[in-house]
Amino acid sequence: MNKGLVIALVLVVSAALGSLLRPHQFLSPGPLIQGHAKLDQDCLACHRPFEGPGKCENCHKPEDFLKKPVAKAEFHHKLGPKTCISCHTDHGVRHVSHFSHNLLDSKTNQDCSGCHKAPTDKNHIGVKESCSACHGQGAFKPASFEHGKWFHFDKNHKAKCITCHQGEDYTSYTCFGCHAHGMGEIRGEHAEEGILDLRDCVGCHPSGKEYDAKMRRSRPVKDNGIQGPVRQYDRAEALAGMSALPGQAGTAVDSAGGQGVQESGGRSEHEGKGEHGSEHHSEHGDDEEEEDDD
Amino acid sequence: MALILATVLIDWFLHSQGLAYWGRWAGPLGVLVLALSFGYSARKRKFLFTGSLPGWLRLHEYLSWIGALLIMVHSGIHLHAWLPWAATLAMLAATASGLMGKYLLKTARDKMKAAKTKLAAQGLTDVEIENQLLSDSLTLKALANWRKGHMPVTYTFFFLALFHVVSICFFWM
Repeated sequence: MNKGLVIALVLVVSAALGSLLRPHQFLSPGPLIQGHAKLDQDCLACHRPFEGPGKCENCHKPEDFLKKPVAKAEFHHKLGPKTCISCHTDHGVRHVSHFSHNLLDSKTNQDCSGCHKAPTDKNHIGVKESCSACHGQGAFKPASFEHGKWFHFDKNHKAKCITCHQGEDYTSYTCFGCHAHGMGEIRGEHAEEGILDLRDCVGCHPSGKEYDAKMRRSRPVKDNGIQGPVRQYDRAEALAGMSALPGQAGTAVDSAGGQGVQESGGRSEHEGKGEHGSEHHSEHGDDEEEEDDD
Repeated sequence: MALILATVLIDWFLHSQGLAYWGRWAGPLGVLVLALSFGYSARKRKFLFTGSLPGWLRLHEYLSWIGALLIMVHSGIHLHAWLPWAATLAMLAATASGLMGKYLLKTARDKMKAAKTKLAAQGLTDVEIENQLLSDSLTLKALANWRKGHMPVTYTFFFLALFHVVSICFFWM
């Protein structure tokens, strides 16, 4: 008989015997979780032949879930007729590996805070939009946020978050964190135009360009569908506002936050919120609304 | 080397795109492609009558390589169960053996072609040349010896892969 065939036969028979006698070594895709470690050599304790794992309820009685914390029990109850292995896997490092939000009914799926603790950091305070406006269901980070709604980045404004949003406070911004914008220079230039309130640069320069304001003044322009006159500054009021430090200037909404998130700078939330700058804007609420409607 | 490099690239791409689970389905697909590649064996043993034998051989070479690539992507780097790894190693051995056979065949053809030209130059007729070349036992012996190694390696792979598929169906399906 061919030597090669003999070797092949020995290998195949060894593999067959090994699979029968030591299935956890020959067949198992990974070690079981600690709680199930004692079943490591007894595959059929969980697996039904040609049907897969499905004997969970032999040990884990459904009524045991009532002993769990209410939220956990309720969460599992809402999953409906899904099997345990739709989400939980025993073999491998991760215990829960197959969970998908698609398993949830639509109402539960939209109630993020029903399962996830709502973030309480500065980025998220006052955010009224749904979580899905910025966050996907795959992972909390990275989040996406349309910064351009408040301020358009251009080639001259590839700044780090902290340059404009200081003290990790994304509800306010300053344009004076950058060396390119000197307070003295800006003040002199704007005083010629009678503009002495230098707190909300983005109000007139939505993309940070000098000519944003001139363009707006010369004609009503369409800017991302926004159209209207330029804000008219009240000199006396602006003078009163000069006492504010530049760093406490405009306020902004942020609905994203966190690492990898493009923070916001903007105008929409600062009306009537009690900050110095906000008071100014609330008094100009009509103008601002007009500008937003631009 | 090209097989391993292609595997690493595809594996990297799937992981970078969050599509690592596609690797699971590369297994059945690879088995299907490999099964198709055995059309050559079926044609050679006259279970099939369509197509030329060299054509089937070329198809066997291409499909075996693609099937092996898919199985390699399916295997990934998951070192736990012994049986699937034994099957993967057997498949790699069969692929390497196949490539060696391809090299031997090419060498034999080149040698044959050179001998034919030489004999024709000596003024032998076509029939005489054929008779002369048939007696080139050295080349034939080399290929026969190669087959003695290639076939057991292929059988080993076939049965180990079969055990793996059956075990998956038994425990998972």
